[in-house]
Amino acid sequence: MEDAHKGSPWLLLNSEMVDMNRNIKNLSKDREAIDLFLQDHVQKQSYVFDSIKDQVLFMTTQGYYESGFIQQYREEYIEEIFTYARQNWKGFGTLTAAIKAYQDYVLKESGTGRYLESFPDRLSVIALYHADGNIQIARKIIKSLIQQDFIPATPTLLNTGRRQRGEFVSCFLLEMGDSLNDINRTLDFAGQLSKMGGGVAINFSNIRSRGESVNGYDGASKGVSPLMKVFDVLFRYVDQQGQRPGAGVAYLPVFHADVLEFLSIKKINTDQDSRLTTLSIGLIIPSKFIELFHQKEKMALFAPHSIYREYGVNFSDIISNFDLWYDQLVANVKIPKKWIDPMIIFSTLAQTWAQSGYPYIFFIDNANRANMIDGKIRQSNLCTEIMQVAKPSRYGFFHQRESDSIGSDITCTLTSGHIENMMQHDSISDTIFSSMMVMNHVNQVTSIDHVPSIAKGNRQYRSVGFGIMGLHGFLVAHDMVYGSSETLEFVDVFFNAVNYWSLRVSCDMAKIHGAFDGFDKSGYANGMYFQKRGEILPKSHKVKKIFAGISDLPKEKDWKLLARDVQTYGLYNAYRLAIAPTGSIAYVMSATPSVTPVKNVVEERVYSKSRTFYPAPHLDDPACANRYENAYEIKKRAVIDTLAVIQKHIDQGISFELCVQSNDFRASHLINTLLYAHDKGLKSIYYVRINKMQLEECLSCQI
Amino acid sequence: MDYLDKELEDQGNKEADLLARLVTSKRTAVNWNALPKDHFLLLGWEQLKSQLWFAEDVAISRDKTDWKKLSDYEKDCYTKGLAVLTMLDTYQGDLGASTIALSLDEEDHHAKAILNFMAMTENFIHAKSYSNIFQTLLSPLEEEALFAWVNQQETPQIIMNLVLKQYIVLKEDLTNPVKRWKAMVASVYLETWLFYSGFFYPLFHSGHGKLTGSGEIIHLIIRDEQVHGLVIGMMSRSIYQSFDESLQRELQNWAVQFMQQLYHYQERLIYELFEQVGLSQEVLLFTQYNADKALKNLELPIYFGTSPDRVNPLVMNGLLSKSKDVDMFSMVGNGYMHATDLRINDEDIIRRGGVLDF
Ligand SMILES: [Fe+2]
Ligand SMILES: [Fe+2]
Repeated sequence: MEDAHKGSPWLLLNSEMVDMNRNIKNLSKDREAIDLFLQDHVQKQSYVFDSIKDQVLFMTTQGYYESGFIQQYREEYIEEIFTYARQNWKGFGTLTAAIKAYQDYVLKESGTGRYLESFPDRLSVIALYHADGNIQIARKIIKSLIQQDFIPATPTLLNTGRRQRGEFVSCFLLEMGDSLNDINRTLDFAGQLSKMGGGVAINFSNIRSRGESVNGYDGASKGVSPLMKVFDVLFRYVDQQGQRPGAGVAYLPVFHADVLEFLSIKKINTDQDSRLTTLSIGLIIPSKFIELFHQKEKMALFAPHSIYREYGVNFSDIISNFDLWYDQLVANVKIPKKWIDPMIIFSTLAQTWAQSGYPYIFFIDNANRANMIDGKIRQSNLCTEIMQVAKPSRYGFFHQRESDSIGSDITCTLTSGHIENMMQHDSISDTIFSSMMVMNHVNQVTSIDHVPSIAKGNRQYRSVGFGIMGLHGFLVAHDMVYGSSETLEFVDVFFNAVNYWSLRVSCDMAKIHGAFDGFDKSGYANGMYFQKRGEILPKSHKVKKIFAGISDLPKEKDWKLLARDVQTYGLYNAYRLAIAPTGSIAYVMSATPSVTPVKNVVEERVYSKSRTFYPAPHLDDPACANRYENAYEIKKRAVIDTLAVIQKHIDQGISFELCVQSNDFRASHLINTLLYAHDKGLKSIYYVRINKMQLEECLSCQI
Repeated sequence: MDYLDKELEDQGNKEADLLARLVTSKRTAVNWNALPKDHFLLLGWEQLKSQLWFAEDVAISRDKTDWKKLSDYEKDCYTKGLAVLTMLDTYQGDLGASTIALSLDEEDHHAKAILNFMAMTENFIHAKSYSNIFQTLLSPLEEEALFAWVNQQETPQIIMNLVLKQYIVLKEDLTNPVKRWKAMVASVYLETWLFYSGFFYPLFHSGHGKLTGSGEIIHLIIRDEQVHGLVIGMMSRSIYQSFDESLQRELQNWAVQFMQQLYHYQERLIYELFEQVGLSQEVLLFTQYNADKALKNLELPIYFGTSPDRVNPLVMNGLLSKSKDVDMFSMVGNGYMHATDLRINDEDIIRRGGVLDF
């Protein structure tokens, strides 16, 4: 009998932490589990080196690390960073964190699977690599990383420094034209990006609807759903070396003639032939739709190709400027329309939500209203936090590639700050500096040349996305709740500072390396952006106390100076902030995810190599434990009110999952929540999740 | 008239008799708007409907990577366990739930409908999803050998036949309440107890994060079986209560003896499958725990008294069919439902300027 059959003792300890109802029984079991995992597993499975020098030599000569970044530094600097990291590392907060860090991120020997580096070593490599030879910057980055003030997103955390590696970015958005050439090229690119481990968003807005003409043959078009099926199959076929399935999302506007078919494609009772399994769906909602709904008017659905033939304009251009176009399209008798009650859209939407959790919602006008960059935001991404302008490409035939007109598409690199640590270490500005150094370097070394529109967009805009995790844990620790006036005040002050420092760092970068392409036409250049910006300082006694030790809240004069500097030097990045859902990396940091409430105070996580129970922070304090209200229980209004304040300071979006308890599941609740989120200026809604109660809870209590 | 004519005439008379009886009995149409006499039937139906799933909903091809890393012993244990489950599900669908449905009073339309729905689930969904797993993980030759094994192996055959005996006895005497109750006991034993030795190993692996696609299927099946066992158990209670006390005592003894008899073979099966992976003792504890749960569903005293604390917590936690947290790039998960209340009334909509109270 093999050892492995008995189950790993640390997993057993971890599961002894909770009782049958997943309530915390004994939190110290998780601490014991961490120690046991590190001693019995990590230590035994680790390669032993005589010195840091030996280790680095081995790693480079054996082909595990790239040697380029090592050669950028003097030997003693490398020793210094590694030593600093090892000595100052405070350890993991949960077993889940330790397991994820070692099993998913730390570099292992091929064949034996032995660990070739420790987790602090991994962070050292990130600091050295992305500081690009500058030891001062490397010191700053390693300090931020080791005190767990921030962490890069998975692809950067995983791949940095490795000789054989994937890309540092994994988030892509592609615009798709309506010609067969455009579609085929988009399929090609989506496949290439999926192979690299990317999650790919594809804008289906321009695809002609079912029954439109093809080459003059009326009624020949099959509409969006068969094409979505093709992408669905593509993403399943091109997975990441069998490690993880490919991932993609198709965005379609609510005014597209195929919208009802599109919304039904994820339903459970849709037949397998057309039902999507891998591809997610996202619905683009212009504010016009909300307006027509409230006015109880019917809405017109449009056929993109008919509009293109009449006006020569793509439907994605129309939809991103819909207030200007709608009446004109309605008035034009040459434009065919289908009339439908918006309520039908809403009930179909609620059904699909209930059955599948999809679609994501993208409030395109809210996004464009806050957008400062010249151009239009047309869709969001797979996690609904990336929102940037894009320019569609046009592709020629295979033998006429010189006729290709390459637009610009979107990629984004992400990092996330740990709010509680940033506050505790008084390190808002340092954290953002380190984060932006890492992300900017990722940008510089990333060039996805075989998807030229992506490479072009990246060169042009240098977009990054700094986000935040751990808000719920922080609020609980300070006895605050979502939606309260103190909480709104706190996030207003904090995120105003985050915004300021991200601008400051980006402007300082621009002094040296110049502004992003198109800065001159942006709302930053003409000062519009700064008209409503300025100091936001704590007012209430409680929030003042929370910020008592914080030395880098920007004052009015700082903002004035910043506005002037930005107008003089520009900004290095077109986009700076985006709050991602922080799946895996929040676990490594033992933080609550993103800025949203925890889904379970104790979560059960199933990953490819282990299943663990993951306790929220501060459960060792019974007072704190009692304060947690999970995302299903909590009032959605309280969450939305909080996110709305945060959103004011974030140039891109916030990934927001709508979690609903099944016993108060009503379609009207969901729709009202959507309407409220829209009116409060949120830019997107990610999944809708329904928490089904356990059978015995709901059956036996009612009998 | 000769012999043949006489026989035809007799037959004709019999048919006339039957027809005469049939036209005098009154037929009723089920009215789903009128509450059934047992409220739990509606709740059970709502529950089953809301959790309806199909074998194809869960992607299992991702399990192939984990599968390759298992030893031959582990593979053997895993697939044989599922093969036994396939057989149990097959007959619970073919014969179990449907015979009990047939035996119920003619007006028990709601209960019959639920039982027939369950029968469909066993075959169409549960048995089929095991086949999907086999198809994903095994070669056609391995699959053939596996079915040959379960179709010949003595221990699972005996267990199956012990249960089926109760169904067949009932089928021949449909109106007999004792036989009906005994068939329900056999059914609850199957749904709430006998399946679980087969669930153990997949739960064990998914507890370790392995073979999570198949694990997802097992979670969905467990969610169904929990309702099946509870609903049939509740149907049995009123029958049991209609018996006089001495009959109740006699039947309770019978239920215990029947359990002992089944447990004997259950234990043998567990040794046959799990000794090779060193888990027999753990599975025995698990099966004892579930045997007691079956007795609770029947409202009979528990027999083993095995506390859940003694069950491997990784497996135990897998039993709780709470909605799991699903990863971003994720699987369907067992959290989604067929919606029941999706009508939107205009007056429920909050118009501009209103405040969301949700
Ligand atoms: Fe079943
Ligand atoms: Fe069943």
